[in-house]
Amino acid sequence: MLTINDVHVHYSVGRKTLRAVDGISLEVAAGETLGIVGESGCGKSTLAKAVLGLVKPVKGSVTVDGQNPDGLAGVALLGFRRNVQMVFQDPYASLSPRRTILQSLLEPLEVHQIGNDRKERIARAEVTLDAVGLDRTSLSRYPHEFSGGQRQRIGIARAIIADPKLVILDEPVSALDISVRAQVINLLGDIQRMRNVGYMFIGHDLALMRHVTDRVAVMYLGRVVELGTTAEIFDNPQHPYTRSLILSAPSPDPTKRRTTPALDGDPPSPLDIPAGCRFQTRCAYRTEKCLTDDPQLIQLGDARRIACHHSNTLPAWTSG
Amino acid sequence: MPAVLEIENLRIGWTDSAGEHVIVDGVTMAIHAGEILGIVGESGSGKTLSMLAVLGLLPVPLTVLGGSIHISGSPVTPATAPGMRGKRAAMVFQDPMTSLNPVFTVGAQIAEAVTLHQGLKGQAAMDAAVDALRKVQVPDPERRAKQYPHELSGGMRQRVMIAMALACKSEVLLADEPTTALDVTVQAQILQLLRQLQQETGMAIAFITHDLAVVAELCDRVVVMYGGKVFENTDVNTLFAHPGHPYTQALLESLPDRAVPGQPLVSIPGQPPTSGQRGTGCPFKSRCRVAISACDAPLPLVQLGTVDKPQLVACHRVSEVG
Repeated sequence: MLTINDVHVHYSVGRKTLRAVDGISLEVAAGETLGIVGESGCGKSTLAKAVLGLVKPVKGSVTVDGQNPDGLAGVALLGFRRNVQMVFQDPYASLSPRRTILQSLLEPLEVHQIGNDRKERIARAEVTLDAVGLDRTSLSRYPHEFSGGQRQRIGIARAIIADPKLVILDEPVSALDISVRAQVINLLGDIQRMRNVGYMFIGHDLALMRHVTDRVAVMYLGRVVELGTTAEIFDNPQHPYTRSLILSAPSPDPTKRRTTPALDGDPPSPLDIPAGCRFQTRCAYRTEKCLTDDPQLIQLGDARRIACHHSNTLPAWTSG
Repeated sequence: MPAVLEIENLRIGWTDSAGEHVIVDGVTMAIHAGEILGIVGESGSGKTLSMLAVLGLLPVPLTVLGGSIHISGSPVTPATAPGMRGKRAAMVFQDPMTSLNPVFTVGAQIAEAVTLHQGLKGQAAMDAAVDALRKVQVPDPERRAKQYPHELSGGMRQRVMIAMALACKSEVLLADEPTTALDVTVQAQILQLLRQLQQETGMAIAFITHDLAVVAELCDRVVVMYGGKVFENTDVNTLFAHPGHPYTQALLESLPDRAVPGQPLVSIPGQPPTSGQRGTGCPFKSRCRVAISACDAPLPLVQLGTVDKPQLVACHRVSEVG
């Protein structure tokens, strides 16, 4: 349904080129959740922008439901955008404080000319509010009258009201209070089951990613370094970086503390991507080959892809 | 072990013609030398305000309405707080970019604090700053000391803030979500650094967070706050193995780590209350699965556990849920 084919997004920074996304191919099926994990600067957000058609790839293509935004303009581009929506991390920043919830919900319907008249559109807004578990009286209220969790429900309502095929969820619960996160995660699951929508779920909470995703792509400096089903990635990670990420995540069990950090230092700047394997500067399994040869993403199993020269000679995985 | 920081029945709020508006209501906790205390709570639980009160930095119009704060036996009052800030208690905030001055080098900023609190001047202060950067494992500290905050990564900036507290030889470090804005890989590095420094210097650390996994990873004891009150105060192993308060229990059950694969997460209904909506009695009662009408009465403090490992729980229903 979503196909990202060898997408490159580069920015010019002074005389240098920032290769934010540097050759990524991914797919998301209808009703599927693909998780995207990686440190800041790995290109997750740029990839999301490319999928939304907000930045133009220098190479490669994005196709949603057979449509490609390149070369589209006006009504045709609008039609593409109707199929791809986004839920942002901070719902307060993504809702206009001066518009009622009704106005915010009607806008996508008006833009995409959904519904014959205002009455039909209001009816649709009401049904969508029901779907996200908010009272219909909320329509005449303003964003500041709601709590963080309720505002995120409004953000979700706005994303799904035009019936998109794909929703990009960019850290949708990170800014919410811990006691309301589970409600919002469960709501996203219900909506997916009901509408068969595909999710691209960007997140950093690995325990949560493990629970909500079907497949996971691990990104590092503009590339996917490992891709697999959620069970494969978490039960048997085969890329040294994936292993380090999993070992870095704190575990809510004080009897299983990590004694040493799994990775030293920060990721290198995407302005100065290391030669050879991008991860070589921080990798414990680095050899001569890694300094010069850029490993390609090779297919291991049905859904499994790994970019590492040494993935078949790594020691067996233990999470302890 | 003596308590480095002692907070007794602290009440914070503001007063107007209608009377007192209480936001933090009767908070009691202590941090001992060489201990890392986790303070867990959601936004509006009062965790950050309690720590700001320790530094005498409550935002206007909030004031301490009652109770007491002592650092190593000396009372903290509006008059004494400015003299204790930095020297006896230092704070590290979530976003180090807003606490560092963008137009001075980080070395100069640490040196300034050293001059103010240790009396060292000129090169001696700068040497102490470089030394502090080395202690927080900043690579190449001489060069880093000459850099400006924007030249450092988020993790490095947070190390600079910790170096400042170290250089001033503060007795207690108040860390307010210091790793929330960092990547998990860098978070793991900062947690290890704090643990190591605490072992080397014996500094007492209060670690404010909403992340229970970080608490499990780092802390010795935990205070759970909700709606301006302390709900539970116990050692970290007891909290995770036998949480006493229904709120703590519900939070732990809602963690994705404890979810059954393929099943929805266990969720807590409703929203945390704002300070105006708390009413009387337990602030969690409207969301609590074991609440009864008795929960409208002021919260009792029930002591569970043993004399060595006490578990304090503020709940009417503790005998039902234990």
